[in-house]
Amino acid sequence: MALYRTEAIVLRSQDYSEADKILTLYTKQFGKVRGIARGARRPRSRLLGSTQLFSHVNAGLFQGKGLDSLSQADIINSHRRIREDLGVLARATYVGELTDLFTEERDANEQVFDLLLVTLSALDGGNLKPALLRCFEIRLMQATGFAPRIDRCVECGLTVEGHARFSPSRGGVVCKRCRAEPGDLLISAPTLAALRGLSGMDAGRAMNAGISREMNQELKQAFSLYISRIIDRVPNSLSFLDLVSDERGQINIGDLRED
Amino acid sequence: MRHPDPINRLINELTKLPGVGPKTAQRLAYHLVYRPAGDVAALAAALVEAKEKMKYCSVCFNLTDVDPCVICSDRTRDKTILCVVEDPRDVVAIEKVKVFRGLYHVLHGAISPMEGRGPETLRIKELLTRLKAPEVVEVILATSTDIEGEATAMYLTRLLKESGIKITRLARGLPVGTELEYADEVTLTRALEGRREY
Repeated sequence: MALYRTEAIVLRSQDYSEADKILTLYTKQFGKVRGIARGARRPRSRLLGSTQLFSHVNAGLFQGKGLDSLSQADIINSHRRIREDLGVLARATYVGELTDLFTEERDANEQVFDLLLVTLSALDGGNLKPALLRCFEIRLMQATGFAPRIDRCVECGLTVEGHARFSPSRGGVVCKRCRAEPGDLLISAPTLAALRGLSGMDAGRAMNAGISREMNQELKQAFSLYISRIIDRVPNSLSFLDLVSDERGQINIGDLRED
Repeated sequence: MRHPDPINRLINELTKLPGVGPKTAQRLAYHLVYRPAGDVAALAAALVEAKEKMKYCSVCFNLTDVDPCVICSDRTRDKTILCVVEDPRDVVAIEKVKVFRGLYHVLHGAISPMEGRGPETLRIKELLTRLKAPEVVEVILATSTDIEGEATAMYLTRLLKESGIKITRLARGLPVGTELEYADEVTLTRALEGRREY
């Protein structure tokens, strides 16, 4: 069995057997890798802290016949602030799930690794701007070859100016001259311009860009329909993200007691 | 060579248990066949009895054979403190310590957004109903310290923020007997943040 070392981010963790974990790691050199961390749930395990979700680690793995085996993981950044705020945690979970869904095992893609790292670092730094998730979505789709076409009309190929329609089924924007289809969404000119900006500029800057609530709503709806079409379902973490973004989720026990 | 059919059926049933693979199941199956008939009958009877008699306590949702459970019906327990745990096994772990004298509430799981397990799948509504009782002054969040446990604790904190009830979380830090050099960054940070006057 060969030992290899790589930078990795913990995307997913499932309990296995008495004290083991099966981890999904996104590695810098090898893409998505699934590995078993033996004993990682025991309180004294050296792997306990370093195999927590969203940790950025220097990992040492033994290549196995089935799953690889994690023998070492030194924390580079635990991104611990992600686990201290519910809104941040919900966003990070969505980011992790989408990365898992859009990538294949052993398909190295450094762009995805860098994007994941920039996004988790921004979340760790408390960035809750709407641009962050929209920027992550469009860039993940670009890096994995699923990007919707936003520069030209998907039907006629002409440049789209002003407002347009976004067609989840045809995979991009449709100009005013081409026929509409059921399921198309209106997308305003400023939103389209913002989307082009988010996908073009440096990721760190784009995630801090200011986009209005309306723009975010339009993009969120368009992307969520488009992503559901690609992966054939709605991401699991989306309902929790919506739930914790809703400020009404607070209960006044004082009121309950007056019943 | 194939196993005889009754052994095969037994192996199939045993492999459905957590942590039991085909090899272990085979070992257990042959072991059971070699045991005296009385022992095997006692095991079968114990399995059926546990399944038939165990139910959820209608107050705390712990697994019990009497309703309300022995903890909820114990008049000497402190009804002002509620310890919220994920699993009935956590109640057993805390009870073993013999330090806590309050009551429990078992959620039966933790929020796991990635696996699609939201708050509606847990006994949270039942917790809120219990908290209507004016005598509860403190809720201890004793969910685990992994992401799911933290998400559950944060979600409950958010729900109860305005309730006026004192919300506490179990302390996080170094396990007893740990050598500092082996502690990870998160644990050490938490241990430093949660240090106490000595």
